[in-house]
Amino acid sequence: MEDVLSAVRLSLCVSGLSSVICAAVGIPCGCVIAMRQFRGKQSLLNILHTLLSVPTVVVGLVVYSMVCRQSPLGFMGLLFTPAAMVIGQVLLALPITVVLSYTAVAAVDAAAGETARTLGAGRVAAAFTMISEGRAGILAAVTATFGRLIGEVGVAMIVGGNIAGYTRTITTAIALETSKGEVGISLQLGAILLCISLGVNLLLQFLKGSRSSG
Amino acid sequence: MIDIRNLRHWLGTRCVLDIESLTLRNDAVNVIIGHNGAGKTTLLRIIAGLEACSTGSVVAGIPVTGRVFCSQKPYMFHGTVWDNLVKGLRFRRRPVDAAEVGQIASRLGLDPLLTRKAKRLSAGEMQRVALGRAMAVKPGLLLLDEPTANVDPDGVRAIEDEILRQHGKGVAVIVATHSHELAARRVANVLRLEEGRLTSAEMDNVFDAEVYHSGGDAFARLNGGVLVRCVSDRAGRLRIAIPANDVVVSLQRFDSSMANSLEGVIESVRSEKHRVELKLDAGIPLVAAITPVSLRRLAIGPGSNVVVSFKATSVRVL
Repeated sequence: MEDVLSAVRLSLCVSGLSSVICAAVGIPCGCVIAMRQFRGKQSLLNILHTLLSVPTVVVGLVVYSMVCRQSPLGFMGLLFTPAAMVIGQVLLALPITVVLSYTAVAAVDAAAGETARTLGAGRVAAAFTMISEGRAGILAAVTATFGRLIGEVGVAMIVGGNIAGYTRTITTAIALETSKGEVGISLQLGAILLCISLGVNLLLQFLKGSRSSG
Repeated sequence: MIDIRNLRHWLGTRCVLDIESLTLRNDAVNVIIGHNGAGKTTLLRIIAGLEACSTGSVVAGIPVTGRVFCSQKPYMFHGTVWDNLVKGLRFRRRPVDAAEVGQIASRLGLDPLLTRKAKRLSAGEMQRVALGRAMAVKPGLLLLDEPTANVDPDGVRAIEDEILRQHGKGVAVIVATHSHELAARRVANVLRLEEGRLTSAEMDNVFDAEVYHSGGDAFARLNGGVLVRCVSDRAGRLRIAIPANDVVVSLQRFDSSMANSLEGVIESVRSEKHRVELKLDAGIPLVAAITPVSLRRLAIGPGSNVVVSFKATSVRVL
């Protein structure tokens, strides 16, 4: 029980923190890409779309090679720590946040920004209006980011190391218990994971509802 | 007030605006008429500062922040009609005077809609919200692109009255429209735009008339003595307009419900893709719009004698 609680706590903390970082960095990036015209924009979008399908174990491997003892960042002793897991998860999910935020804002009618400007909004206020008008899509971006992270196992396993009570998340615990033949425990952990996802989604839906009814 | 010199504007390789010189006045509602694609919207957007012209200059006595543009397809922000009405004030960080915005709303007939979600309104309702939203910020110059498109007749009246009211308060107004009714009012300075160029600002089929009633029917006596049957509760010196689309051209007189029939001669024919404009002398200078098919079928041209007919209800008493 103690182990399960610790895994749930770590899953929520690591994925939650990673989602917050992704949102803080990815939403502004997506919005800027959507609202600015610049050279190489389409290429950048192509790269980002490709990154959506990078396997989690590959991201784990890249972060592993960055933080392992022999690497330039080895002195920081990050390998097999929750911090390394956060780094990996941010790298994994950032493209999702950026691409979905981009899509959300690009889908907003350009007339929204123009109307804001002719009504007296400055450039910054007009940009924030565009973002506000696309907020349903941006919320979907955050939901998708968190969903990807709470359920991923590759990064958590490779750079976290699945150390009980320290870097063991729900997903790595499921992998371990299954390999031990404890399928029953695995199924229970899976159910807990789904419940967490449901709870977070309901919370975000509630936030969306209370914002847009105003 | 607004001085335009040597304005040229290209979209790709197509020159959509070519205006050598144009001065828009402050003491009248400026109405730009023209068909779809004539360049009206582009001109308004350039004056509003939303688009830069390719070459030339636009000098306005009003700063860009004082110019508000209302699009033909207005964008409604998330939230209620009220949220939209006060949006401009919020952008400008000005206090919201609820009583004042409320007055604007009720003049435009928006009272029952205030708590409705703006995105769910009909197109005509959105037009009225957009106009109210623009007026709430007290602009120096209102640029309205087809403000009465999709609006029902009562709404049109409310919008036109509001435009004239704003003008009365000293707000400069430029309206782009293909409807002639507002243009035909005396307060209007009318400009005609055709394929990006200014052409004769003469209004088609608008006449000064003496409207009177006789035996229950209404008549309008035009200059030159031509008598036209119309429908009107008012009488006296008024203006009437006869929409060119409502003028029927035939080779002979025929029995019909149309109360007005005049004999005339075709002076000129101007063809567009789906529309032919006939300029006629029927005792009064009349313009009739027909289709290219009708032109071929009737086999008429300059010099042809024809009969023009129109219903009494087609005659708009302004």
